[in-house]
Amino acid sequence: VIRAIATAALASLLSASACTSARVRPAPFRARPDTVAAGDLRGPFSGRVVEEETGRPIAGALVYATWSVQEGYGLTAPGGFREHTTSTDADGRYRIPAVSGPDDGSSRLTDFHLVVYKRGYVAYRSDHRFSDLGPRSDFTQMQQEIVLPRWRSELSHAKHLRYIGGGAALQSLTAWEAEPAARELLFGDAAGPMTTDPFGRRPAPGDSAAAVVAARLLRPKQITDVTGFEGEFETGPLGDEPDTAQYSSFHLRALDRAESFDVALRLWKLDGPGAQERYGQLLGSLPTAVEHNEIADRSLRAAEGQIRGVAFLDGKRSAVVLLTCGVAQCRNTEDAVAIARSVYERLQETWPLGVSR
Amino acid sequence: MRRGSLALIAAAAGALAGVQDARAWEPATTHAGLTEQAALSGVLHRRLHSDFGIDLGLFAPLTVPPADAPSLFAALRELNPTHGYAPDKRGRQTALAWLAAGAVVADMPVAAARNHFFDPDGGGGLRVADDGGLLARLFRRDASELAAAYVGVRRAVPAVQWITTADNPLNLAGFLGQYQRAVTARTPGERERHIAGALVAAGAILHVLQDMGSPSHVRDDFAAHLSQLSDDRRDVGSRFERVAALSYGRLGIPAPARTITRDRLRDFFTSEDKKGLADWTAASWFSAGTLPRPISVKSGLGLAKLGSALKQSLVRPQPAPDASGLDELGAHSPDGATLVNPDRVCLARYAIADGALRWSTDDQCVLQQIGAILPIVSAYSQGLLDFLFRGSLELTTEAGQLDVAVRDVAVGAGKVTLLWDDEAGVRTALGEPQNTSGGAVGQRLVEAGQVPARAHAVVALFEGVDGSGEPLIATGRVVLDR
Repeated sequence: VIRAIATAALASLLSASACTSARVRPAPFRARPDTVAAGDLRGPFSGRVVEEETGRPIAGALVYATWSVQEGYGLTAPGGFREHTTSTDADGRYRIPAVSGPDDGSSRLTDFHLVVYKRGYVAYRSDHRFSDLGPRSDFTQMQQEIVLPRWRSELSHAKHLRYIGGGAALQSLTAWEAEPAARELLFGDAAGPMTTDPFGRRPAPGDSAAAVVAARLLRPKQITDVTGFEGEFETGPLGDEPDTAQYSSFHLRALDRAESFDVALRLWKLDGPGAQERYGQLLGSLPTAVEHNEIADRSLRAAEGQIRGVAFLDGKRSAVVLLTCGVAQCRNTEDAVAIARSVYERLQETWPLGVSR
Repeated sequence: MRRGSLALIAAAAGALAGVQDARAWEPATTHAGLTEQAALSGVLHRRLHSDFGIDLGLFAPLTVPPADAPSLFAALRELNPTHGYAPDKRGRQTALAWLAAGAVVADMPVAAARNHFFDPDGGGGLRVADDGGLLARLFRRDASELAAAYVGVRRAVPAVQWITTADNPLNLAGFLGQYQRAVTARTPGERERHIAGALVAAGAILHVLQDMGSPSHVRDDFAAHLSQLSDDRRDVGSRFERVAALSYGRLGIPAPARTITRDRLRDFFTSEDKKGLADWTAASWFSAGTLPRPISVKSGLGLAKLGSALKQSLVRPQPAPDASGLDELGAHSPDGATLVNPDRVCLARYAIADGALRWSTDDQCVLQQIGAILPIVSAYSQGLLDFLFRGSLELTTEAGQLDVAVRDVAVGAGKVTLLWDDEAGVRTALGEPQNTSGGAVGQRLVEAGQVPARAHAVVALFEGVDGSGEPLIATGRVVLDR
């Protein structure tokens, strides 16, 4: 069935190509929603932008259209582009005039992209969906209805900026997203201000230490990057001890999976010899604990039943971290060590060392 | 198959009607997407934030005055801004965009693409056998351009050498030079443009590695790049790589499948343990022009003879199909049968007709291969990018004493330069560079003397080699709490 569909699609586009000027590639989109006829890459284009929840028109959304030009054949090179920027009217409508094909015999118009952006909404691209970044197949040249969902706090600004792409007007309108996007990549959390000092001044050491809790040191991506796990986690503190200034915990419970897919992190911040003592207690009490000293100042590996454990001591920060990982998630100890290493990296980033003079 | 296979196949197959690219993975989409994924998954954002003091990291706008790099901007002006890596008229775009731009312009001019081939079996670059057949195919398509390309192929440099050869303007030395000046340049504006320069060079180096994930690039298969792709006779290119571009685009490129670490730059491409990307690709996948040759089965071969014939039909030693695993009944059917690898990914189709066993790859098979290959290429890309930016120093001050320690990766012999920034960010050397024999992670590298009272921040730069003897630049920065 798959092969038949693919063959049919290829055949239809090949026939479309035969009817199209060699200087303009066949359009990968339909002319209108109510027809299967292929559109024209040159345009014109028209449509209406509406809000997902209410269906109401969105006025003043930026509409950015671009065409790519390619030069040469056999060995080819980008040959420039054309662009048109407009915005939606009070009824949410846009119209983009057609462009002509290239005059130069070795140049051709190769693709068309439309981006729609309005602050407070998820942007739209004519070539890919935002949700899964998969290819979009519902774009039409004329009478296109573009539905914009409202922005939600759990969405990623980093992904959104990459999705939107470039163009002077878009770059200007989306510049505000750079800060939450940068924060996401550092802390896994877009909320809260970044350091605004242009020279990168950071909070005083005491402040940053107080802000360090186990939940800031481990994000699901750090786990999935290592283990390849494709499920989701529900997060929260462990139930063993309440969080205090000296102790915090973070439990990533794998949704709809056995406990052996879970991961947990415990962080102790203990002054003076406290950190050394805590680490020593772990070394003495965790089953099969053996020191490997591969992370921070000292580190150990341990295992019991369905759980693998890695603990490390960061003497400079007086911090002790214990990572536990189920055997279904961490299929070998190296996985747990790799995750623990990434935890240590985050610890260093979120808790910079002394800058006092 | 993941990611909505029907939609991917339809999109890929349909859009092939317009294929016209004869280069590697398509720069505007596949290379750019791989490079972005590498950056978003790796250490670069943290490096920019922590070691360079660029708060917004990958999303920080960096300006390169167009007059400073006219040839680069001449290339960038040809790129469609919608993909996010074309700077504005002032020469400003984000750090991530500069990196992706480097991956895109690595094929500009297109003649550079001939240096993005490497055959791990022979150790050579792109070769074109002068057997007449290929020449005929080339010159039938008119165009002095193709003739010029052929002549150019004869001068091709193997990809593993191209990244360090002086002829490559975006080579490793260029990257290291820009990196060094991104730390030592006097003003914030100068440093900004050198960071952008380092990112462009890094992106271009990543591009060359990414090409090692394309089977034709590591199996010396230039013919695969001359496939007729539509009814336009001038429309030739690599069907494999165009399918990748059409089905995944820039945005659909998968994140790295795993973490790849190597001690040496070359090892990302090829290594004695055969764990370089070129080694893996060449041994794991056929390219369009290196499928097994047809086998005559007119007389009815037994399994043993078939196995022997199959072995002789191989153009390359790997992958080597097992004759006992072939589906003879399926091979006789109109649709033929499929050869799969242990992960059930299509390696090739085969069919017996007219007394011969013949091999082919169709778009669905190619799409499966791309789905398996791209996450690996993505992982190698991230590994290489992290490798390029692996050096990091930790600066601390206690009781007026400045310490510089090694962070993340051990350093070998080299020199350490200390610099200080005033309130306006103007940077000045703090004494003479100090030689060091190196140190392990966490080990103190040098001690600094007194820091000027006006110093707002102190920066350290290590230039030398790492523990493996590979060229290394490392930097670190501390803002003084005054």
